[in-house]
This record gives sequence, C-alpha cells and structure tokens, in this order.
Amino acid sequence: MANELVFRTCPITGKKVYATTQNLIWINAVTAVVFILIGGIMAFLVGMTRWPAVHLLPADLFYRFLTAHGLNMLIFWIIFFEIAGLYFGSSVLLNSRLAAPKIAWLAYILMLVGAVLVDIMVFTGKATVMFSSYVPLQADPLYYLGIILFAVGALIGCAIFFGTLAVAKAEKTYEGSVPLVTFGLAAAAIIAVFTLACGAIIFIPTFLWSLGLITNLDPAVYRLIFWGLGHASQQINVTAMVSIWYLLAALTVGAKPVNEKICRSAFFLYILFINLASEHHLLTDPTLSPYHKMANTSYFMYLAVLASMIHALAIPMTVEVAQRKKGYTKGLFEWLTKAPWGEPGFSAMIFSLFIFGFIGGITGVVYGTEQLSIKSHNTWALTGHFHGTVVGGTTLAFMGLTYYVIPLIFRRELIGKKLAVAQPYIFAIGIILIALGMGGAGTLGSPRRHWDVTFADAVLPFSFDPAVIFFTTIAAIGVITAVTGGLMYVGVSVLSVFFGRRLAPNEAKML
Amino acid sequence: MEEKHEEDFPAPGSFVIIMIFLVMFILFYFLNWKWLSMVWNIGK
Amino acid sequence: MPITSPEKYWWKPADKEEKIWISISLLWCLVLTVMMPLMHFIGTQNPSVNPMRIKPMDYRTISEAFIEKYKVGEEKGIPIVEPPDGADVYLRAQMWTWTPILKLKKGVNYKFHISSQDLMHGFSLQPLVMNFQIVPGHDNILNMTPTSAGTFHIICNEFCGIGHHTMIGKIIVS
Repeated sequence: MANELVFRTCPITGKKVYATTQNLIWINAVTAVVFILIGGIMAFLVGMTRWPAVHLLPADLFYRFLTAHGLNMLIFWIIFFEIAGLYFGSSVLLNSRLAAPKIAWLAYILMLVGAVLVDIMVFTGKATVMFSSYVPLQADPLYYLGIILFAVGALIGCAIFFGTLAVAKAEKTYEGSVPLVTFGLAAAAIIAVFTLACGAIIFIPTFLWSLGLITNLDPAVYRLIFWGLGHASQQINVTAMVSIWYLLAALTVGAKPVNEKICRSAFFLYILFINLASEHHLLTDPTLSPYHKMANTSYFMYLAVLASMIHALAIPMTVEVAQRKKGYTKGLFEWLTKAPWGEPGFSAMIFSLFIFGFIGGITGVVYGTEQLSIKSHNTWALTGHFHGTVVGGTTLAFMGLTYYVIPLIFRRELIGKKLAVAQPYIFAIGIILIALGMGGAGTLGSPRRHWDVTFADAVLPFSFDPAVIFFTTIAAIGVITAVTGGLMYVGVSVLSVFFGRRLAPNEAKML
Repeated sequence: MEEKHEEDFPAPGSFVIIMIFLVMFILFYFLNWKWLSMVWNIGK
Repeated sequence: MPITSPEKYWWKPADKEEKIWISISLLWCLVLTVMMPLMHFIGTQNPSVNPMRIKPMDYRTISEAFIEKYKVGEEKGIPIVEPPDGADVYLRAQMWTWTPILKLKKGVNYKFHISSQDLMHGFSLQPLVMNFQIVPGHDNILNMTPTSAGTFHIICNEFCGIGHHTMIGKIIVS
C-alpha cells in the first residue's frame, strides 16, 4: 500500500493530492459508474415495458428489474459517487492527508459487499420488494443484511470525512474557514449521518423480522422511519449537488460565490430542516394527525425550500458576475449566451440547475402540500418529480464533474471529448421528456410501479384517457434518449479512466 | 453612481430568470389547488 | 473561489439583489405555510384523518357484515353493495381486489373506512385521481361526498405483488 504521506501538487489548482486519497476516490467513483451502468440497463428495460407499444418484459421481470433500477441508481451509484466526493472535498480541497485510509478501504469493501448481496437477491427474484420494501412485503433476509452492510460502510465513509476535517484543522493545512464546497459537503455528511441512522433503526428490526425473530412490525411505523432513510438520502444528494454546482461554476468560468454568508447560511438551513420534510410521504396515510402533517410540511419544510430558493439565485449569480467581469456585459443575457457551452461541466451544471429547479423543485413543493398530495400521491407524476431532482439534478451534476475528475485527479486525458461535450445535452433532453411524460400521465391518474397501464388482464374492464398513453410515449422517447446519454457517459468515463493518455506531472490540462 | 448601481444589482440577468421561475412556481401551485377543488369533497 | 478558503472576514452584508430575492422567497414560503391551515377552513378537500388502528381480522368481520347487510347484486363474483345515505362504508383492499363494488348517491356524505388485509395498497379513484395510502392494521377514515355522477374505477397504485396491475374496483354514483 502506498505511503500515506505521498502526495503530488495539482498543476492547475495547486492542491496537494495524496496518493491514498487518489486511490480511494478512484475506486469509489469507478464502482459508482459500474452501478449506473447496471441501473441504466434496467432503466431501458423498465421504460420499454411501461410503453404499451412495446411492453417488453413479462410482469415478474418488470417488477424485479424496477426494484433493481431503484436500488442501483438511488443508492449504489449515487452514494459511491458521494463517498468519492467526500474524500475529494476533505482531503484534496483542504490539502490534507486522509484520516485512516485503511478504514476507508474497509468502508468501501462493506459497501461493495452490501451492494453485491442486494443485487444478487434482487436479480434472483428473492427480493422483488421495490426500493421502499414496504413491510409486510418480505424479501430474503440477506437483502436486508446487504442494505445494512452498505449503510454501515457509508456511515464509516462519513466518519472518515469528519476525521479528515479534524486532521486538516489540527495540522493547519488551510487558513481560516473551510472552502464553501467543503462546507456544503460537510452539511451533506451531517444529513447523511441522520439518514443512515434511520436506516439502521428500521432495517435492523426488519432484518430480524425476515428471520422470524420479531413478529409485530407495524407497517405504518416502517413507512415513517423508512422515509427517514429513503427521502433523506435524496436530501444528501441535494446538498452534495448544490456544492458541486459551486465547484463546477468555479472550474468552468472561474466563478466565485458572491456572498459567502448567504451561501453558507442556506446550507445551514438544510442541516436544520431538510430531513424533517421526509414525512411528506405520509400525507395521505391513516396515521398522522392533520396538525402534525401541517406543522411538518409547512414550517419545517418551507425553511428548507427557502434555502433551495436562495441557492437558486446564488448559483447563476456567481456565474453572471464572473462572466460580466470578463467583459460580457451587453444586455441582460450576454453573460449566458457567451458562456462556455462547449464545456460539459458548464452545460451539465446549467441543465442540472434548470431541471432541478423548474421541474423537480416546483413539483416537489407542490406535491408535498398536505391537501395537494391527494392528487399526486403514488401517481407517476411523483416518479416524474424525482427523475427531475435525482436524475436531471444530481446525476447530471455528477456526470459533469466526472469530466474534470478524470484529468485533475486521475491524471488521464479524456477519450471521446466530442461525446463528452454532447452528452449533457442528450441526457438533459431525455430527462426533461421523461419528467414531463411521467408528470402528464401521472396527473391524469397513471400509477407508479405498474406493469400494464392498459389493464388488459383486469377482472373489471377499465382504460385510461388516451392522453395517458400519449404522455407515456413521450416518457418512453425520453428513456431512449437519456439511456443513450447515459451510455455515452459510461463509455467516455470508463475508456478515459483505463485507456486515456496519462498526463505528465506538470501538464496543466483540463479537457 | 454607475459603479454603485452595479454593486446593488450585480446580476440582473439572473434576477430575471429567477422571477420567471417564481411565476411558474406560483402558477403551478395554484393550478394544483384548482385541480384539487374539482374532485369529490372530503372533510372532517 | 469556492474551492479555497474564503477571506478572513466573510460575514458581510448581502447586496440589494440577494436581499430582495430572499425577502420575496420568505414571503412566498409564508404564503405556502398559511395556505394549508387556511384551506382546512375554506377548502372542501381535506384528508380527514383520525388515526385509528384495526386488526385485519376485525376489519374483515365488520366489512363482511356490511356487505351482507346491503348487498344488492354481484358482478363477476364481486358483491355490489348499496349502503343507505350517510352510512359507514367499508372498502376492503386485498391482493388483488377492491371489495365490494359500491353504489352511492351524488351529494350524500359517506364515512369511508378503507383498510388492507395483507400488504400496502394504494386507493386511486379514476378518472378523478384521488389517492390514499391503504395500510394493513390501520383504518383510513375519509368523509367523502361524491359531487359527480357516473362510473368510477379504483386502481391500485402501491406495488402489491405480481397481480398489482389487475387490481381494479368500482364505484357507481347516481
């Protein structure tokens, strides 16, 4: 194993990059890409089945692959990438050695074993329980064990991040406050601790229940605590994604936060309030009182919404101010039209911001309103909402960042730059079509997690408004487009990481 | 005076974009209340 | 740069642009906050939940008695039930049926009790698109007044196993 104190200096940013950190970022990011590939193939198969014109898979495989799609994308792809991001945000940005790299490897192995175990159970049909695995729908005990191992591994990863912050502070590797990106990632890591704790609280008894050691597990309690994991893990994504927006704005147009106080305060609001919003999954449940629901979704949730709205102006503002300083001052929008649209990091950031805000964000707040939830609960519109946030938002931002991590951290030249330049556009168009298609069909009543919206096998005949099928077709075209974009991403990043030309030690080259 | 003005409003383009966002947000929010009001009554 | 430490004193007043935006945002969040309780007073669609637990076995007994008492016919083996005005209405979800088919009157208030015998189910009334989570062991109590006449279908929108997509119920309003 490489010496923990070996480092190189980045010729572009001047940051110290320790070999141990570099290896850990590499293994976590590469693993993440493997899981997005699995999830992407599932996306295609599931998407083509929901489209009545194709209706590809039989029902059992559809539900099995839909479970696999959810877990591989929402959990494995994103959290492996986030762990890589946490090591980058602490060790690289603070010029510090990584605290306890051996334990970081242990965390990685736990996560990998957990993820592989879950995938084996799902693909062999022993855990067709969907991402949410609602009790009393039961999976094989090894499925729950896999989730627990993965969560423990991710929790250790967060501990390594905090440990590295402490090491950097003790060894005075930076002066004053931590950089904004590190601050945002720290907020994400704090939210992650709460999230993973919820996961342990609910999955340990569920594991025992699947073994037959516990008999009375209340499905309503499961739902409540599960969403403390299931939705809160998306809050980690939001926070990490916003941090990456700031990072990409800096890397592509040299943008600097206009006001550090505002940006940091908004992150602080996330830490305080965002996780409480997880209860909005229960707005049409027969469990919580209306007072409880109102307090939770209004006072608490809207303070997190406020934070997102603050970032929503702060991010384009940093870009605009940076561009205006470069002389693009004509009219209202010259800063935007003359922006580096050919840089995948820039286009990915702008599309991510747009899709997250205009599609994912607005629908999220609306569907999370107590009474309005009656119209949207469990419809395909909900699926549209979170494809806007997690795929159009988080995943696209992570994709954009990858094109910079490869030269800066892995020191390889990109293979297929033209593909990389086009990729965010294709992926963004695909996701917009998916989100709008799902939103339209769902608003007209199309349910989520459903094999056959034509109800051909149903005892009582029923069919939807033809507009549902129209919107479903739009979503299906979106699936084909986005999967194409996803494959371009996987192709470029895998080829570059393994076969890209190694950059010389002092070669200051980004793309 | 010109300099001062720029300090106050450093990113007018972003402000226009964010106002479009707000308008869409408000419209979609109240549109959903409208849709809700068209379904069966549910009460206490 | 956001990737380097900020200058020593970064706690600085915001410019006017951000101040205006934050004020507008806060105001909008307050509107959102006020809307929910306000609509409980002036709105006519509010989930009326008084949390109540009921054992699936007990619920089955009550709903069977309800079906027997008011049964008026059958369609494809599913009983059709016409409860009197203002009655308590029991709608049972189980893999993969909604029992019974209900005949209701427009403009009359009914107290719905919807519960599940086995897994989670999703009550989704079409084409109105009204959705509620149906949880085994819990009674989802809804005071509903049909305000439109016709034939309505209930689909299931929570995954409940391999036959999930065949789970359809019916409500006929005259």
